[in-house]
Amino acid sequence: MTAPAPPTELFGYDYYQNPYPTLEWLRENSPMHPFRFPVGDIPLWIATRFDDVQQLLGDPRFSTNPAWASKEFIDGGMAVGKGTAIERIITMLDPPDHTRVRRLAMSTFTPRRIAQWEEPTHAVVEAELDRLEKQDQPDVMDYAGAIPAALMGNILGFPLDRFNEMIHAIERAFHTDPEDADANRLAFEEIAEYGRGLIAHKRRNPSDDLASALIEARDGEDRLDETELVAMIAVLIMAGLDTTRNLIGTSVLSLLERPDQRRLLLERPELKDTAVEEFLRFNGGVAVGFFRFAKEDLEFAGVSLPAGSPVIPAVGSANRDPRRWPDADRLDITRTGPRHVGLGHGLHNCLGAALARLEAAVAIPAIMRRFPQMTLAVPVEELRYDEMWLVRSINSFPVRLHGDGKR
Amino acid sequence: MAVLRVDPKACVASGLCAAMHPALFRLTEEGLGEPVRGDLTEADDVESAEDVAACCPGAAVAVLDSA
Repeated sequence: MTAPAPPTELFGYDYYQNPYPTLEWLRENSPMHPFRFPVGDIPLWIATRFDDVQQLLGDPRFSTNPAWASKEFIDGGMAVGKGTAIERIITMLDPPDHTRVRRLAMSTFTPRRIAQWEEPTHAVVEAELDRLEKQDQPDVMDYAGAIPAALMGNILGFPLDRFNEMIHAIERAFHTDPEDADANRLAFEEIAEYGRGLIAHKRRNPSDDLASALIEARDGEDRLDETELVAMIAVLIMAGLDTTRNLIGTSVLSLLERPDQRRLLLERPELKDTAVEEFLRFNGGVAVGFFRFAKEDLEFAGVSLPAGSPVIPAVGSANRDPRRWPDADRLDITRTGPRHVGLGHGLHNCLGAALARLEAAVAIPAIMRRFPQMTLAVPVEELRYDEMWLVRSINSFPVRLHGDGKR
Repeated sequence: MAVLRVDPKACVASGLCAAMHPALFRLTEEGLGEPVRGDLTEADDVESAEDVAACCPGAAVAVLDSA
């Protein structure tokens, strides 16, 4: 066997620009791959095959809670939100805390309850398309970010006026620049502080919305502590904004690059729901899940892991595994094949999945319909992806809304 | 004491139920949740199933009085 090194360094600049060749190499050559994370030089593992990733996400022998993590991981500074309220986000809680907190928010996000937001979503999307059309230098990422910000703001019950600042904070929080460790913590603190301000305002102006219900669970019934309340508001903002923003952005790009799929979506609007599942599979925004820590010494995917070992579930790789999908690297919006893990799996599966699906199913077809001549304003090779480990994020996505003819 | 049901039409195959309480739920070949047993006789199991019902992203789990 030759030296076991993937074509690009994991979580390095070239990886972020196009991770798929590296992920394919890992699936074929080293499906449970040991490497050192660029931040903190921490030894960890990355799982890249569908079966392994799905099993990892549903395996109760692993936890997302850094209380289970190795000393090296904690000392390396990679515990998400360490020293801020963010360390109590639901994403990193174990049962029974996870159960208590998830119960408080889940009913707001079930498919039936989210279906009531369909008309408001159309209204937000049309208003954002009007706004996009007036811009001198229209950027799809502005459109893609404004939609989840408006919807999540409506559901929580306060306008997320500073959502653009939050998107930048989220990206700094999950950056993998080794010089940037303190910047990560400061960015998490900025998000938590924004949440605290919104909560203070909402306490004075309660209404019939999710934030008021969560405040009531804290102040009235004591089912949340103050840190958990701040963490819940913060995680709804974090998870609600940048994930959906990039799902919309990368999917619009996928369609601009594939005229046949673009035409198909316009000619057969009823395909929107299978199209969204395919977008989630193909390039679904979330690149990898949160670290999973082995809670005991165990065997996983043929590898012996000591307790505390961190494993990255590479959902973006799992979703391209040819063992599960024929022609997995081809976008096909008519696909009705097996389910993907773009919205996770197991205990921490996406709480806001129904909302993400609704936003994507409205926003992606609507921009293609409004601007049927839209083209990229720069060569596709000039687009850059942010060096952020969690989400695949296009920095800037300039377009000509009316193609080459007009502006 | 209670009847445990998973509505396959509402199930979104998130895998939450089997990850949360593998003694009460398992996944079919297609990834849909299903009860291991339809009848729950222990109060602890009823409470656990109600927790799963409240956390299920499809609102597909029902815990019904078997009276």
